[in-house]
Amino acid sequence: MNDNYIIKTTGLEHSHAKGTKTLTNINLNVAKGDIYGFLGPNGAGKTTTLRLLLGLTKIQTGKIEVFGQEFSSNRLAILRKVGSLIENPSLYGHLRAYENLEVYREIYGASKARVTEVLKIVGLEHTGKKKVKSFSLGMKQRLSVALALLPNPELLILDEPANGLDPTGIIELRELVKKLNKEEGMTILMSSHQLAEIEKMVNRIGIISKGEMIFQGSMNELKQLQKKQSKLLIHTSDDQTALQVLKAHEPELMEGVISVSYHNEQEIAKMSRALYEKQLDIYLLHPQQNNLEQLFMDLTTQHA
Amino acid sequence: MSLAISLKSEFLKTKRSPTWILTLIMAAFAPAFMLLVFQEEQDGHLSDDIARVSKDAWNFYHYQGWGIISMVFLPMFVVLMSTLLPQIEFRNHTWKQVFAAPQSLGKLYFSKFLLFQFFILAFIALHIILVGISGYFSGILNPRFNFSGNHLDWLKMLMQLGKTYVAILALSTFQFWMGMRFKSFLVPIGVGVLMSILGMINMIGFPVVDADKYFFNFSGFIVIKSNAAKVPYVLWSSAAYAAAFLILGFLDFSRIKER
Repeated sequence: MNDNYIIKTTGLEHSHAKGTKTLTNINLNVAKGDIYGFLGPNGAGKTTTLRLLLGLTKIQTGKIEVFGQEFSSNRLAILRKVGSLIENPSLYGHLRAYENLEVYREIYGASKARVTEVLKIVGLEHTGKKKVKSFSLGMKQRLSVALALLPNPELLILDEPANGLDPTGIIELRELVKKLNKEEGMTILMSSHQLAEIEKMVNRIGIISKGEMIFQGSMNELKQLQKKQSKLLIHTSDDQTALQVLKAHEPELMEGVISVSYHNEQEIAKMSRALYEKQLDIYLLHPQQNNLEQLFMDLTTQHA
Repeated sequence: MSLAISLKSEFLKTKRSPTWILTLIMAAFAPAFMLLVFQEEQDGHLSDDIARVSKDAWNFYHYQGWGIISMVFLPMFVVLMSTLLPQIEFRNHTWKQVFAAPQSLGKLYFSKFLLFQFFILAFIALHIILVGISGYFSGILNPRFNFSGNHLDWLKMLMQLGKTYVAILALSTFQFWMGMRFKSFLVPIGVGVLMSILGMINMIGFPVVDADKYFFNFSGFIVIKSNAAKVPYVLWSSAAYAAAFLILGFLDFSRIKER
């Protein structure tokens, strides 16, 4: 067991209605210093998992440890060190930005200077007397991030934080997350349904689909998997002979096209040469564009 | 973290919310009503109020105000406020952030309850002030009522309003439980208003159950002079109901599976 795990769930299961499992055997491991991307399509179980981690939903089966402590019996001690943003912005519309943070300031034991500091971090220090109900969705989202940062947490849990942000806001959020991780040493767990949104900032990733973890590992491991799953599509003047020629690559013939796995461009050249030497005319030689996004789609749709 | 910090947080949430204006408006109803109704002349004839009021103007005026709020406006205020306070969380979808903050469920529940009790006491305090203002202007408009020649029995007034507060405790804890329990404001308001109206009918017109056991109308019950002998029993009952509802409400609150 890695003692550095900030979050460790063991056999986490949850059902919203009898007989309908929302989560099945979730073993989430977030190490200290990680920026952990928790990915999955809508309805996969991301928010339910995060709600369980914050005690917003009662644990039915399994175990949750945060900072090495069992959650249920150490709820307050754990929450003191956790900043969170779950689902939609959770703010008092009739109050101003500063007042929304003031509501929680003493609960987290934060100073007045910290309130000003976090408002500055998210660029909302000049909202003055404007009430939160008249904020745009992006501003509300940024204020929610400020609220999550208020306790200067060791662990930051962000559920789809890019929702409602414009492209500039997304880039700013990305930079902020990296900065908090690097300069403040914050461990960050953030969920998203878009790999492209988070792949540039996370170092570890967990993919959930239909309530089950289908991948968990580093970004490098995900990239290795991507390479393994890359396919070359081939169509020749005699596909049956081509199948024999490419036997070592375990080809598959599907709908008149041969599909083989490859790892690098040299392999493509080698296969092309072998086919040419057998005097086969090559009509199609197409390396399938299997980027991370495609891999994510493949993983989640295969599982579905 | 102390209960005071949670309480302060709850107070901050009411800033610029309708809770303060509701308290002022509801407390102003009875004094405004009395200012309009108590007049020397009605339909061109001298009113019967002169003889009654002029003997003991301030105490009479207070007694009328006490009766009106205890029977109608305080129970209605309790029903509305008990719904309005939790709706600050429900309408803003802020419960999840509140529960993700490091405060115990007990401190959270009881700080909200104490805030609610503060507003009830603020209603009563405002009522005292506004009855004073109403009486002052009534005295100017109606010199024969002789307000300047009479004094208010402060101790008696505070005792009566104190009893009203104890009598409303049962209803306030029950309504607080309902307000915290149901996301829709219609449930606590519907239950509170309907049961209070039925209780009023039961107490004044068509008795079906013993009025001294029906907590929805305890505050009105203690105002009726013929019930004087049962007042101590009703006040103890109200306190017992309040303790029971507070405990049941908290147990219910702490067992909610999804927040």
